Amino acid sequence: MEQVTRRNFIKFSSAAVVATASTGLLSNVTRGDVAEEGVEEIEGLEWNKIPCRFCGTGCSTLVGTKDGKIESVKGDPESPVNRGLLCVKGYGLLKIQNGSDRLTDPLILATSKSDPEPKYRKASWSEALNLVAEKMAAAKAEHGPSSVAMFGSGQWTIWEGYAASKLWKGGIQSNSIEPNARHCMASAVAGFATTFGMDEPMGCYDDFEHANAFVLWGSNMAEMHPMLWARITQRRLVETSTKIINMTVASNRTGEMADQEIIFEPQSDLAIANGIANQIILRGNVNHEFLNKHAVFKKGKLDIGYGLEDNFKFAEEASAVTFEEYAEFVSEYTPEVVQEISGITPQELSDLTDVYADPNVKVMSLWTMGVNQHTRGTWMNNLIYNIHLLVGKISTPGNSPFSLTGQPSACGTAREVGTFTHRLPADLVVANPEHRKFAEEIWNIPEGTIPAAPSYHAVEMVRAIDRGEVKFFWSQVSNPFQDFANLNRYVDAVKREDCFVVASDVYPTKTTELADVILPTAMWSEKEGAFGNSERRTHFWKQLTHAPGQAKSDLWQLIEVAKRLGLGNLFDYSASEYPLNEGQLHSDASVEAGFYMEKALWEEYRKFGLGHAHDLAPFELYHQTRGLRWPVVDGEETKWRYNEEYDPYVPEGEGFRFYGNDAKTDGKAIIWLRAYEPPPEVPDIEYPMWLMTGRVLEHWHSGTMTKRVPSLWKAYPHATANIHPRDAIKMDVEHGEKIRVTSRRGSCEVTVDIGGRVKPPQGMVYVPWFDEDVMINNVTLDAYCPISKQTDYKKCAVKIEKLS
Amino acid sequence: MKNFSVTPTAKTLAIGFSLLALVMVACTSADEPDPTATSPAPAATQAPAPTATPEPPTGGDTPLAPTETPVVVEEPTKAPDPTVAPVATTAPTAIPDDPFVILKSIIAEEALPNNYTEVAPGDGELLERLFPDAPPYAPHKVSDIRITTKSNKCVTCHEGGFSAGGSVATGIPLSHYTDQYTLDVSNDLDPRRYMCTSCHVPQVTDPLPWAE
Repeated sequence: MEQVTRRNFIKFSSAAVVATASTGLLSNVTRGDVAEEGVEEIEGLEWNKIPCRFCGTGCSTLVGTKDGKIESVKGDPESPVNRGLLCVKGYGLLKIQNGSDRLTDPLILATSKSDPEPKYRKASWSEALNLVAEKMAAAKAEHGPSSVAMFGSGQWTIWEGYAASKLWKGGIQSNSIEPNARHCMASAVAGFATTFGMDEPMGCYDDFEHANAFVLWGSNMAEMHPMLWARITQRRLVETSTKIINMTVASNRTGEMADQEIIFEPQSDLAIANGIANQIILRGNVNHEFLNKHAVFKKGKLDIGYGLEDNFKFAEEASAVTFEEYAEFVSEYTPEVVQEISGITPQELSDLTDVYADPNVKVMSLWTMGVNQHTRGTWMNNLIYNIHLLVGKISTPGNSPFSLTGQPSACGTAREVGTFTHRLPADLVVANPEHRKFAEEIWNIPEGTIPAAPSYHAVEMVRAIDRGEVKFFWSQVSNPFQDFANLNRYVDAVKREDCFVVASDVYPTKTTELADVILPTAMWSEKEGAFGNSERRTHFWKQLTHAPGQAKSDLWQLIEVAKRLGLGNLFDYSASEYPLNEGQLHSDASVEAGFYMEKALWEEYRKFGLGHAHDLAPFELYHQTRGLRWPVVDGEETKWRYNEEYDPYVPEGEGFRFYGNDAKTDGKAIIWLRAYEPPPEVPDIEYPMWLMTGRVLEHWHSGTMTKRVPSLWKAYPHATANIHPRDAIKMDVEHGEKIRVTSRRGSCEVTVDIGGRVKPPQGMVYVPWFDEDVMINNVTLDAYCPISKQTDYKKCAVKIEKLS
Repeated sequence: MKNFSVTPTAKTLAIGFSLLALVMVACTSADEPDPTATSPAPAATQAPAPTATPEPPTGGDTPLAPTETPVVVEEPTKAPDPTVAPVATTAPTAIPDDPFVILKSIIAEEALPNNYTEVAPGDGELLERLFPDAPPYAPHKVSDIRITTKSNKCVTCHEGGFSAGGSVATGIPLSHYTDQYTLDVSNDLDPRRYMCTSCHVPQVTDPLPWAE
């Protein structure tokens, strides 16, 4: 065993830590050395902070550059989020921009979209953008503004999403703008909006170090939020009385570290949550003092449908009810009924109730796609809040119902900027005339410019392509033709060529395959950016490298198209107010404009939230910190909202106030009566198995970036179908053999994995969707939650055939 | 560029420019009034109806904002039908100066099988890291290793560099025992680093179909 050397220690530690390390400390170390022979440190790097490009955790990384090229990536020790650690994807960031098939020139389709090998010709930016602008103008003129659609994501930087929203709603006068966050977080948003009147979690990541119990509802955090899982792991190992319960429909890696894994039938989480509430009431653990002051009860519509029909509409009808009526409603969810619906035992229900009901246990509920991608996703979000409200375990350190986001800026961009058809920045909505007027004033555009009616949410948007209503569709920072459910219908629709498709991307994808124009796009370190993570933390980075070839940022593309539409004034700010900084590498958008475009957009954007509980700090502060959690009032971030002790928006003496509901319920949260209702499609004789889809640790979304990283691709080359060993015997398939998974909508071929990381129960197959060679979304069902309009990617009925 | 085999010829540029000329004409005729063009104070009649229903074209008089960079357009030789002309110019015989680009996605080029190594722990050869600061790979089978609160087989072998059958497991580095804030070194692994598989992953044995 080699003696540890200072050089080796530096290699595995962060620069900032090393700067203060003492050699005396090191000389005492007897632990084994770490370095492999021949692994040399890279000399002469310049280190800068930049948030990770992948999940909603919001880890900060330190990126080491030399001669304009990224040579190293490390966890940022100064980040309160990840504290110097990174997961395997984070290290893979080094290679995401360097794939040899990087798009570097604007391309215009020269053949038909149905051509098996479509051909393109290189174009100048002027030609490509003129064509894009012409098609937008023509579609608007002939078919109305709603026929002009933009599809973005929670991977837009904040100012990109803001610019897109301003251009669409305030310029083109179209509300046809949606992010793929609709597939990811819409149920969380609708849950927050219906219960608290205001989006995003009240707590923060500091809760991890305060909680004594963690209940995961449909969230495989060990793979999907690994650096937050590291904090839960730490808490569990240090405070050994801490309990982790993994609620899931298939055993997974998170379950390995859990103290208890509870497997339930798909969709039955609704019954379990109501069952817990019932037990809390029966045990006498309701915190009536908290409830009387801070909550009201409401009943909404039942039997609300599944959004399977085109032009599906839903309107809630809510009425006030009493606590007694609520108690009677949940009393139907006895342990026996819950067991019948969900398969969990009365003992398991009792164990779950224990962590919520015991006044001495601080409990965090954590959830992601299992709860959100659910045809009753909004209801399930409501039901988790119900439990926390009943016992008053909310908005205090460690007591935290916490909705985790999937994308790096699902919160910062999609939700806070409001790049949805019905929204405006800072929780404002287009349907409210006051909100529209407020936005029109900030944007300095005539009153009445912003259309009042939402047009298409994401699923309706692609259905409208199929119906011939959407004639122009522009995708940025997303890959819609790999990620929509029931893809066959929508791919066929696009191939009919009456909708002009523009794809801004970094690599060839399933979406660029269907594009009339492909715009090569700058990404991550090639532009200045801002993301907002799961805990309301807004964090910034500066541009560090140049984009290859002709690639330009999404922001630059949006502004250049705006100019061609005669809407350049939307992005014309004062060069004297927002001068460029000498010595700073400014983005293409700023260089083109001759002023600091990102700063100008930010300072305008933050006017939306100032003074009404969405306060964001001045631009420069974010470049100086590792991010701040909004509302940022007088330079101070807010850790726990709605709690007087931490939140300046709670009036003195009230203790708690859910002020998002000030107008509706005088600042009280709403406990909703939400029932168990079955999913729209269940296994039957013809299609006897459940299909569940999801992600894997090593890949991000559709794999566009991570499959270009050698270490990640070789760690998980292809999507597999995980099935139970008994199902494998029944179907006479072995590990590694190929099967065909077929639903009523389509099929795909995939290799069987038995005993992999995800271990479904009998009767279920799990297929991740990152792999463009395994197009599982040809199989999935495009049913959605009627309230949030979020697709349920977790449940549909399939059959499996062995391929000989 | 690796993915673009041939650069456009003068001919295609000409076609491109003719398309562009068409584009500019269309753009001029179909544009909308600029809501920001003049004073923000709107006349009620000028304000578009706040509705999502289709609007008729209104024929604006300023198609391009003053900030628009004028597009330099060469004299087009002719204006072919954009939907057919480019195809017609690519006769199979014209391969040497094929002006068109076929997008080649490197990840779709060739299937890489999921053939992870079956090599037992202790028998694997070290793999070269992605870059010097990246975590090392697991050069052995990990699929049957479960990490629970009670047992962590990765740590059992790698703690201190366990020696088995003549080979020594790569030791867990000092950084993994160092408190990030106090810099105190402990005898216990930093509990945040307990989930080894969040960073240390196996690799398939086949080489990638493209150069790294």
